[in-house]
Amino acid sequence: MPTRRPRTPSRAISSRAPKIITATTIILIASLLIANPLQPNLISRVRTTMLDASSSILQIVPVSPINQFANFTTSLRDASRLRAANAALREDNAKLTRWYGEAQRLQNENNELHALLGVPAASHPERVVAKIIGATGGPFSRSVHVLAGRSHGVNINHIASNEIGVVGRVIEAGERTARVLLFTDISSRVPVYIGDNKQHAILAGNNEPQLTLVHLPQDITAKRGDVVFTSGSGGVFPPHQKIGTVHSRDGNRITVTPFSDARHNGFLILSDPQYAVLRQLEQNP
Amino acid sequence: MTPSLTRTLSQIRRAEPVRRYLFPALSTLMLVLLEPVLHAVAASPNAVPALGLCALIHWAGDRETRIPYWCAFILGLLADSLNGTPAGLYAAVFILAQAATRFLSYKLDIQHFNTRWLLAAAVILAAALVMSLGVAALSSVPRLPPSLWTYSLVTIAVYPLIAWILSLAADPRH
Repeated sequence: MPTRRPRTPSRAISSRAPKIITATTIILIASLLIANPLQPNLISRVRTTMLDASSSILQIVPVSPINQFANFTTSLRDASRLRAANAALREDNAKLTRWYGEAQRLQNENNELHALLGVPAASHPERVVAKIIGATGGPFSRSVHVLAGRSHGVNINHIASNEIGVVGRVIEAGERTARVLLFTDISSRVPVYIGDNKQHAILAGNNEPQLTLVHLPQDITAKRGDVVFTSGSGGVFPPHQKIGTVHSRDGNRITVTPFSDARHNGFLILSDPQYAVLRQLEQNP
Repeated sequence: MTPSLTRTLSQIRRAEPVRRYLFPALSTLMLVLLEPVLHAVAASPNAVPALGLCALIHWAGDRETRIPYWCAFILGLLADSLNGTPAGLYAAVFILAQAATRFLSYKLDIQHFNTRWLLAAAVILAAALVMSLGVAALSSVPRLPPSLWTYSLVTIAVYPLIAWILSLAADPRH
C-alpha cells in the first residue's frame, strides 16, 4: 500500500504559490484601477518611475534618422503644393517687411521707456530643450515622452513648443523624463481665439491629426486659413501662442490643422508658462 | 559572428528555462518598448500595431512556453506607463488576453496556424474593446476613440509576421 508523504509547511506553501501570486496580481490590478481616479498623484509617481526606468533603453533607438526619412517622404508628397505655398510666402514676406520697421521702432521706444522708468531686467526661469524618446499613439492617447524631468527643472504644466508654436503641456514629470500631452489627444481642451476677429472657442483633440473647435459663438466668422491662438483663459497656457490654422468649415463644425506634428520633432522646448509670457512680451513689445 | 559564438548562442537559446520562460518574456518586453519608438516615427499613429499584445498572444498560444501571470502584469504596467493609459488597464488586458488564449488554445486543440490567427484576431478585438471601455470609464473622456477599428485591424494584420519572427528567433531551425 503506497504511503502518503506528510505535507510539510514548505510543500504546502510551494503548492499554493501560483494561486497566491495570481490572487495578489488580481488584487494589485483592482487596487491600481481604483486608485486611478482616487490617487492620481500616486499613480503618476508609479508611471513616471517606470518611464524613468525604461528611458535608458528608449533613448538607444536613434529616432532622428528615421524621422529625417519620414520628413523626406512627406516633403515629396507636399511638392505639388509648393507653387501655392511660394506665392503665400511672398505675400507674407512683404507684410512682415513692413512690420519689421514698425517693430524696431517700438522696441527702441520700449527700451527708452524702460530706462526712463528704471524697470529692472526680468529674470527668466530657464527653458529646457528636451529630446523626444517616444510617443503614444493608437486609439487611446496622443503624447510624447521627453528626456528631461524634474532634475532638469521641468514640472507639470510646463509648456511644450517647437520652432513654430505650442504643441502641448507637461502632464507627468519624473526625475529624468516627462510626458507631454499633445493638443491632438482626445482629452485635450484648450481655450483659443481665432484670427483677427479674436472670436473665442475651445480647441478639442480627438486622437486624430485634425483638431475641432467647440463651444463656438453664434456669429462665428472663421474661415479656412485663419490662425488659431491660445487665449490664455484658465491660466494654463500663455495667451497669443500660435497653434494651427483653420482647415475646413462645414456649418458649425470647424477643424484645425496644427502647425506641425510634434511626434516628428526630434526635440521640444519645455518652458515655464511665465517664461513664455515674458518672451512674448520681449518679442512683441 | 564566429561559428563558436553562433554555437554558444544556439545552446543558450535551446536551454530549457531560457526557451520556456526567459525568451518569451524578454521578447515581449522588447516589443512593448519598441511601440513608443514606432509611434514617434510612424506617419500615422494609428498604423502602429499593439506589438506587445501580439507577442503575448503568440506565446500564450504555444503550449511549451510560459509567461507567468505576474510577469504579464509587470509588462502591462510598463505598457500603461509608455502608452499613457490608466495604470493597471494594460496589465488587466494582458492577463485576460493571456488567460483567454491559453484556455481556448487548450480547449479547441488548435494545430493549424490559420485557426490560431483567427483566435488571435478575436482576442485582439476583445482586448481593444476592453481597453476602450476602460479608458472611457477611467479618464475624463467617456466615449470610444474613433480609430479603434483601424488599430485593431492593423494589429490583426501584423500578428502573423510577429508570430513568424518570434518562432524563428526562438528556434532558427523552424
